Amino acid sequence: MQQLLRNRVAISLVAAVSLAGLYLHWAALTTLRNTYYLGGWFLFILIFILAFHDPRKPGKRVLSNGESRWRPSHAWLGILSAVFYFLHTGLRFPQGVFERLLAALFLTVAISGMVGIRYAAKLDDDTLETVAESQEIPTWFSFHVPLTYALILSSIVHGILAHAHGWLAWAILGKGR
Amino acid sequence: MSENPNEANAGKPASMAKARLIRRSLAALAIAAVLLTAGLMGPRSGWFVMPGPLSNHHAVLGKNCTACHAAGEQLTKGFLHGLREEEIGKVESTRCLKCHLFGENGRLPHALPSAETQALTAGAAAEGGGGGAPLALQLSAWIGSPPHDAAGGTFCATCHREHQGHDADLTQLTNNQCQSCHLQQFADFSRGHPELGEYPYKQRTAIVFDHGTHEGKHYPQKGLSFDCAGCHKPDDAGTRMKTAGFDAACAQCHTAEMAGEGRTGIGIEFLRLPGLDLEVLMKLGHPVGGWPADSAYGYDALPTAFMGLLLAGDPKYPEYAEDKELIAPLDLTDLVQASDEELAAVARYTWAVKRLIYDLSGAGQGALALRIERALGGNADPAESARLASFLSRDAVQDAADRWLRSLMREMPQHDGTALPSAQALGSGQSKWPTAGAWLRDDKSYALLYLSTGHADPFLREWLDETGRLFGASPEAAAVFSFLRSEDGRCTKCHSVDATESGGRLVHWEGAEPPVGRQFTEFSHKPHLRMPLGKGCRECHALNPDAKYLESYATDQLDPFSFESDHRPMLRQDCATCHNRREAGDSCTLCHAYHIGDFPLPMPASGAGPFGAAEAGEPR
Repeated sequence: MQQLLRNRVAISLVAAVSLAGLYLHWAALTTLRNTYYLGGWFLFILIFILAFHDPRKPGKRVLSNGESRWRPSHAWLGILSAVFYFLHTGLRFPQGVFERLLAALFLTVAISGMVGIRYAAKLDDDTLETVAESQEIPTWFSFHVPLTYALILSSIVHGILAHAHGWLAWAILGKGR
Repeated sequence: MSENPNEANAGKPASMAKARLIRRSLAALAIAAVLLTAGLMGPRSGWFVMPGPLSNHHAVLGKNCTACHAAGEQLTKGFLHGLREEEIGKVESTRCLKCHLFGENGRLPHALPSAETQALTAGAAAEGGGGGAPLALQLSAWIGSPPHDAAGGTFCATCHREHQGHDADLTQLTNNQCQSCHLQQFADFSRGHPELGEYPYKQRTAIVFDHGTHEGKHYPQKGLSFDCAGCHKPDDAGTRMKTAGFDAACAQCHTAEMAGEGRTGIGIEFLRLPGLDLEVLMKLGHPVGGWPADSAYGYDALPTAFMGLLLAGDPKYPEYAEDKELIAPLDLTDLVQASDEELAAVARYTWAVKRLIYDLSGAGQGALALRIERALGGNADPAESARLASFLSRDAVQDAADRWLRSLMREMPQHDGTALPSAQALGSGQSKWPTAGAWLRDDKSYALLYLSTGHADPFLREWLDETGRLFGASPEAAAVFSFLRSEDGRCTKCHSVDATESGGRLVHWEGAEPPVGRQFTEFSHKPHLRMPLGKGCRECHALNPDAKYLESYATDQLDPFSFESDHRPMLRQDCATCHNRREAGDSCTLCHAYHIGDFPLPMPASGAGPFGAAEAGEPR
């Protein structure tokens, strides 16, 4: 955590992007514009980067020595995605069944990510060398990554529903009703 | 999870951990895919994908997504929904308007025609003021104005966001959101909101009532106390203040006046025989048959306003308009100087008057209705003509004819070559009709007069209504209306008269007529009635003794908006004493409505609703 807070550039960038997002969201609300789609796409891109931006295999991401740049950037991007998640949902827990599942999935991944930040700090301070040698994967990580993949799949479906809800409504639900 | 996961996992080969991660990732994807497939394709797919419950008002739509959302033909555009909101917005708004009948301008701002909105905007711009846009609106303006299409049409979902839960208020908007379209922006109601102007006294009251004079003069003279509640009380909803009717509020002092007290004449002249110089007419070869010998003592030559209309409706007297011009400057009781042409006109006119009485004697209201219809031409409403005619008493006309023109029944068939028309021949089927008030035959002036029944006399009201409607279209109707209006100001002394767009005249019979449709500003008295106000109603409605109130109701003053109230204008700051953010609230929607106009409620059709499957050719 201390390492995260020492990175002033990252803090500034995340703060600037968050403020820009907050401004756009607030200004759009004031002028009755719809930011769900723009914000949603931005959030999806963030999640996608968080999941796949390391070209190496997922199992080596955290535990490989020399990943000190990746970990804080991953954490900061995660924090940024949380900011945009709350903007996207308007600080309300969704009311739809599917959207509630999606929100629960995101929050679970986010919370597990925060747990990861805590563990990463411990690893840095105490046992990083040992862990790197043993190449072990901590338990929290074992569901952080799988749930991220499930989140991405669900987000894609969510996006399709949001964009093409009229067509889907007609194709899936409209017949016979 | 163990305290130290590294210890928990110590000793396991990396390949095993990697394989475990891959297995878990695949399992998570598989579970997600199965859940999504089941949710989307399952029997409760609507429940699964719906982003949130509909508000109670839309609960009837259930899971019929296509009732509101654009269907398959919008796939391409629909997928770009977020970027091209106007495309899908237009389609979906059209669906909203199937139930919400906001008229042909339903999607335009305030449901008003563009020209009207532009005029309002120009007015606001000219008015200026406003105090400047608050910082929040200035900052948000950088990203553009609210979404709209090329024609300026708005989209329902721009303001009304559904799927927010059963109890969601779809009309809730912030003040800044309301102002985001407006030219004149301000911080809040107490800072920058336009002044109230003449509100609520922009339009003169329907009933002429000088509060100041009544309070200061008439009530004290009668020993009465002038109390607002004596005449005004809230309607059932508590929204508007109603004005008590004549019986409750005015009759105590004005009944005698209604009955004719203080008037110099009695009754309203309906028919009257003109005085004639019979000797000259006879000598110069223009006989008029039997006529009262003493008519030469002098009575007005011109017909009464009613007779003018009825003579214009005589098909056997096409020369009426020309004859009227010739006769007007003459003294019919002294025709020594009259030309032969003028004498001929007087004779035709006299015979036409006799024919009128002859027709009315024979067929009563049937003849009267026919003549009214003919006189008013294409503007006449047959039903209304019949109603106007129904007030005539044929017996009274017959009685007058027997007294004044004893040879009438013999002369007219000889003169016109036609028999006496009967009520049956004219389709009335009745020889006697009910009449409203009394009819008086005045043998001195050879006039048949109508005596009103007092306040709300149906004869006067109907004739004022119909002739007022046709005021601009028929000079004869205008003459009757003006005559009735000038008759001691019987009705229009208290009932104001407006000019209509078609050139007609509209008499306001009811006080405090509620506005038709939704107005920009709507005020409810209810929450204000129990306020501990020291001056009662006058806390807001203070009298203005200096106002030239009655001048607003002068005979030639027909514009209801050209008005000086006998009350002082209300001040915005008086309202803002309570209506601010901390106390009673200052939301725009507290006083203002967005959709302006008179909108009907939709009636459910049998079998299929406006968005029903029957329309799409599919069973519901």
